[in-house]
This record gives sequence, C-alpha cells and structure tokens, in this order.
Amino acid sequence: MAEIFDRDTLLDLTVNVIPLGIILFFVAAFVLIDPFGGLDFYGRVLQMGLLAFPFVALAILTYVSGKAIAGDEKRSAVFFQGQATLDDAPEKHEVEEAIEAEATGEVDVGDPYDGSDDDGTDADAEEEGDDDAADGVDATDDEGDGDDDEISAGEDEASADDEADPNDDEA
Amino acid sequence: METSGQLLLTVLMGAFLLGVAAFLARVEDWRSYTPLGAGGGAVGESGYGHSEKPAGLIRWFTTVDHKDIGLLYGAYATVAFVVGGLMVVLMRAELTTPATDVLGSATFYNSLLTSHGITMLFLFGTPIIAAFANYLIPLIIGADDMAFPRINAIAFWLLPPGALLIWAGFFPLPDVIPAQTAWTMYTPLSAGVGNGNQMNVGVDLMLLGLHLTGVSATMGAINFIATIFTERAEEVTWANLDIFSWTILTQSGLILFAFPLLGSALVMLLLDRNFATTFFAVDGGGPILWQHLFWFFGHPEVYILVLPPMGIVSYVLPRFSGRKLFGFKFVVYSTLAIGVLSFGVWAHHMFTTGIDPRLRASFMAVSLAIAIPSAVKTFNWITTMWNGKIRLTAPMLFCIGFVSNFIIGGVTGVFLASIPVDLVLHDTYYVVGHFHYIVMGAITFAGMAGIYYWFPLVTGRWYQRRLAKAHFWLWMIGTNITFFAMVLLGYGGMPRRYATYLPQFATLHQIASLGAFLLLVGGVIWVYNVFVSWMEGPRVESGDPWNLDETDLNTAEWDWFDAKRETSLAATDGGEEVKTDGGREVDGEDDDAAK
Repeated sequence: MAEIFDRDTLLDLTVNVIPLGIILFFVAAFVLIDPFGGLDFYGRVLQMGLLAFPFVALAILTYVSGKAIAGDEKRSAVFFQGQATLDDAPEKHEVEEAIEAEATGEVDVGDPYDGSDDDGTDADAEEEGDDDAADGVDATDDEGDGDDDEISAGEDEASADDEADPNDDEA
Repeated sequence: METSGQLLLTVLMGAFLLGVAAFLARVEDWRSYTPLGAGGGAVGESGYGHSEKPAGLIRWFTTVDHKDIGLLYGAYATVAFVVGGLMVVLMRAELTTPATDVLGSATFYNSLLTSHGITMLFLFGTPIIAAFANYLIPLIIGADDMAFPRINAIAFWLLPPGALLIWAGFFPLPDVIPAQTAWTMYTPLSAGVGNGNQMNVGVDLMLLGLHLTGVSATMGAINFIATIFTERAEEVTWANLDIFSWTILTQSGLILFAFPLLGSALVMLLLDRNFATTFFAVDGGGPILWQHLFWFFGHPEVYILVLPPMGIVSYVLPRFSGRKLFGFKFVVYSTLAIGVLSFGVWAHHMFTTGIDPRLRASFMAVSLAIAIPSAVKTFNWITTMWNGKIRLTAPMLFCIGFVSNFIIGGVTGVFLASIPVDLVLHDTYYVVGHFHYIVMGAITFAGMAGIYYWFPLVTGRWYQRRLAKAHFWLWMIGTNITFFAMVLLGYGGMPRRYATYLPQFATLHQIASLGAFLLLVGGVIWVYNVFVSWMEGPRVESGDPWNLDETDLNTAEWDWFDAKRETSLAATDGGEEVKTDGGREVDGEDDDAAK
C-alpha cells in the first residue's frame, strides 16, 4: 500500500485532489455559513448528497486508478505512451536516465533509442527536410525503390527528403 | 380491390425477402466464415473458407474487421456532418435578415435547428469518435480485433436506420413533418401538448431514431470496455495504456451510465405521446422531470463527445512538438475525474427553472470543480509545446486550434457555471457561442487533426497539404468570427433558437453568417481534399511518414503500418525492384501540388 502510493504517485494524484478540495470548500461553506438557512433535514441531505456523491465517487476512482497504474508501474516495465508493443522501444526510466546523464554533462551517453538515429543529426535532418520541401525538390522519389529497412540510421536524411513535405510549416 | 392490392404487396414483399435470403446465402458461406484479425490473416491461413475479404459492396455489408467498421463509421459521420453542415448554412442564410425572408417560414427554420443539433451530436460526433476508436485502439493496444467483432458490426448497422428515422420528416412522406422540438426535446412541447404541430409522427420517428443511435452507442461502449480490459497485449499494462485509449475507456463508461437513461426517458416520452401516460404531464411527473432525466444524460454527453478528442490531441500534439506529452498521468487522472464529476453537474442547465436555490448552489460547486481537470489538460498541452521542436503540419495546426478554441469555450463555460451570471445569460446566444466553441472549435478540430494525422495510415496516401492548411485557416477564422459574434449577441440579450430577431442584432448576425460561410468553404475543401487524395494522392513512401523516429515518438499503430507495407510489398512480387504503382509519377504531381 505504502509502496504503491509513494511520493511520486501522490504527486500525480494531486490533480484530482484539487477538485476534491473545491467540493470540500463548498461543503464547509454551506455548513458553517449556511447562506440560505432554514433547510429541513431532507433538503440538507439533498444539498450535501449532491456534493458528497461526486466527492466520494471521485475519491474512490482516484484511489482505484492510482493503485492500478502505480501498481503496474512497480510490477512491470513502463514505456512511453503507445510504445509498449514496439520492438526496440526503451523503457521510460532508461530514457529519463539518459536525459539526466546528458544534462549533468556525462560524456558517452548512449541513445536509448539506438539504431534509429544514433548519428545525432535529428535537427539537421529535419531542417534539411524543410528546406528541401521549400525548394520543391522534396518529392523526387530518390528512395522510391522500396526502402524496406528505412529505419536504419543511414536513411534518415533520405526519408526526411521525401516525407517531410507535408510536415514543414510553409503555409 | 383494396384487399387484393394488399395481398399482392404482401406476396411481393415475401418474394423480395426470399430473394434477399437467397442472395445472402449465395454470397456468404456462413459456416466457414471467420473474421479476419488486424494485420490480415491472409498469411498462414489454412483450410477452406474465406482467407480474403469478399470483394465490393459485400465486403462492407458483412465485415466484422474493426478497421473496416471504423471506416464505415467514418463515412457515416462524414455524410452526417455534411448534412448537418448544410442545414446550418441554410439557417445562417436565414439569419442574415431580421425577418424570415430567406427560408420564408419559421417552421422550417425550427426543423433545421432541431435536426442540425441532433445530427451533429448523435450522427456525427459520437460516430466519428467511434471511427477513430474502432480503427486505432486494437492497433495501439496490440489486440487482434475488438472483443466482440459482430456486436461491433451490429452497433454500426443500427446507425443508418437511426439517421433515416431522425431525418424522416424531411423526406417527401405524406403527413410526416420534421420535429421542431430543438435537440433538448423539452416537455411539454415535445409531448405534443398545445396547439402546435408537435403531435406529428415526425417527432415519434425522431425519438425512435435517437433510441437506435443510443443502443448503438451503448453496444459500442461495452465493446470498447471489454476490449481495453481484456484484449490488451501483455506489455500494455495500465501504466502503459496510451491516452487515447484512456479517454475512450472513460467515455465508454460514461456512455454505459448515460445512454440507457436517455433511452428510458425517450420511451417514457413516446408513451406520453402515444399511450396517454403522464410521466411528463403537469399533473403527473411534471415537465421538469424531463429536464432532470435529459440532462443527467445530456451533461455526460458533453464529455462523451469531448474526452476522446482531448485524447486525440494529447496523442497527436506531442508528435509534432518533438517531445513526450508533459504530465501524462495528470492527463489520465484528470480524464477520470471529468468522467466522474460529469454526473454531478446536470442541473447547471436548469438554474433558471425555479429549482430550489440551495440545491442549485451544490450544482454550481461541482460545476466549478470540474473546470479544474479541463484546465489541467490545457496547461499540459501548452507545456508540451513549450520550447518544443514544433512542426506546423495540418494535424498540428488543428491541435493548436483546438487548444485555442477550447480555452475560449472553456472560460465562457466557467462563467456560465456561476449562478448569477447564468441567470442573465441563460438561453441567449452566449450559450450557443460557448458550446459551439467546444463542439465545433474543439471537438471537430480535434477530429480533423486525427483525420489528417492518420490519413496516411488509413489510405496509404498523402492529402494535399496546401488545401489542408487552407481548410484550417478558413475554419479557424470562421469559427472565431461566427461564435465570438454569438457570444457578443448573447451579451446583448439575443435569445437563442429564434428564426427572427430585432433589427439591432442584424450586424452581429450577419457577421456570424459570414463566418459560417467561411466554414462552408473550408468544409468543401476538406471533403474535396480527402476524397481526391484518397483516390489519387501520392503514395506514402515510408512506414514512418511523419518522421516520428527522429524524435523517438513512434507509436504502435505506425509500427503496424510499417509492417503492413513491408508485407504487402513482399507479397507483390518479392523482388528488389518493388515499387508502389506509379509512385514516381504521382510524386511528381505531388511536387507540383505542393508548390
């Protein structure tokens, strides 16, 4: 229990604590200030029930979903969204560690997504793609020979040539 | 004479049905039929029976493949969007003058108003979301297909008759006129009380059609819940479930609780209309009962429509920001929070009905609380783009348009949640402007982002990007002109739903109509672009057409697309010289088009 709801998970759940807090604020306001006055028991039950039901339901769902998500994080590998079934996708912590290592100036940081772009020319490739598109030479189909293995690093630029044309920002 | 005529008709109908049965038995070997899974079972299938889908129309009538059904939903939603759009173009044309000079009749305007709302919400909004979900969710979560493929098909095939019933009044049927109840179908008007023409069978047909669409949505929702819970690949744990699937799961939960209630209320209304029950009569349950039942469905319906588009934006926007989604889990938890809280706010649509002000305050409290999760998402989207490597592609433009319009629609909504403000602005054009910023400016924009983003995946071709961008800008400008003018009209006190208005509102109404015509032009461009590009657009030359690998943002559905391309190329001739048909030439055309 405590293992699942660690500091990080609790921080994630704060997003739902805020609406819970707002509801709680109104509960307190209606009880303490009672701005309308004179509600009979049935009216009071309705007034509070309308606040209590969403409060309880949200609290339960937040707990259950937090337990499911954080529990699975602890139990099995965590990937970025949509990448879990990819063959070569690194785990989330690997990427984060690589970023941290790079930020602290550590040299020789391996790219966790190795294989696809280990030449470090991401930005160059994209910019080139844009330029080419602007020049109108983007679709010369210089790789139209059915590049089955285009994931390989060497073809980054070629694919940028061809496919960047709908991507650039030439309005 | 009359009897023999009826007899003849009966015999003809019997013969027709026999013919249909014989035809179906002939084209379809039901015993051996096995639905194809995602990725195509064409490789490695053994034995007899269909290892390929049937050809032509038969394929579409008999398919249980989630991708085909997704396309059917998409085609259906497109037709509905065009119909609903043309309806509102007529309405905006009418509203260019204070009197009913254009349409000539307020009755016809009322019919259009009713059908526009219902068409856009039930026949376009829900189905276009189902289109994305059907096509993509099994691919993204690594499922073979939906959990119940045949229920999936049934859910779709309930929709066309639903649309025909809803639009029945517009067809040249004797004694049937379109419903004029507005989409909220408030009693006592919709119960046929009074001297109006709302006892007409057109209203009954519309209610039955709505019921069918509700059943369809419920079946779909059950299917999505079962699929996401039970059909996920092993690696796709709850922690790894993508944001679009989360929003569909939440939406399906909302549908499961909301739509059966609408169905029940519709049946009660039909009983009141046709069998003299008194559920909504003044001396029975009372007309306000309808509003409670309707809005208990109706407010979750807002989130049923907006959550999946939020999921699409949360999924697509990071791909063109060069970054992962900021605060992924914040977005997930806030989605769930919206789902729960949406059932606690229904009476904020009823602040002016005279309900007890002390109860009203409780609804205000929850309505203010539900603004927080939506705001959290907005900040997440903005932060994702912050310092990102933004590529202003058509899908990204629509995502940014979504965020922008959603902020205006959301902020105007927060004001409405406040009782004193609502008492002034209720039933004015302010409300119309507010919710159109959401349904048009946000939901439809996100739908377009999704359509452009996954267009290469679905069709294997590129759309014309220049037309796509023209579409975006026409819509962005048109949306803001039209709906901001409506917000101002509301401040001025212009009541909603009227075919006529006082002359002092003419200018703003004409401005709103101008914006609507920009939307029409953009819409025409969109339909043309999608249709023509699907037929003859340049073929996609890569399994990663958006260059997602560059920024390590590739996802499962594109992986599937890549694998599909490779296997289909290999299956063509297996040689080194494999090319897509006419790839070079068409690319040349694309080059020209791109300039």
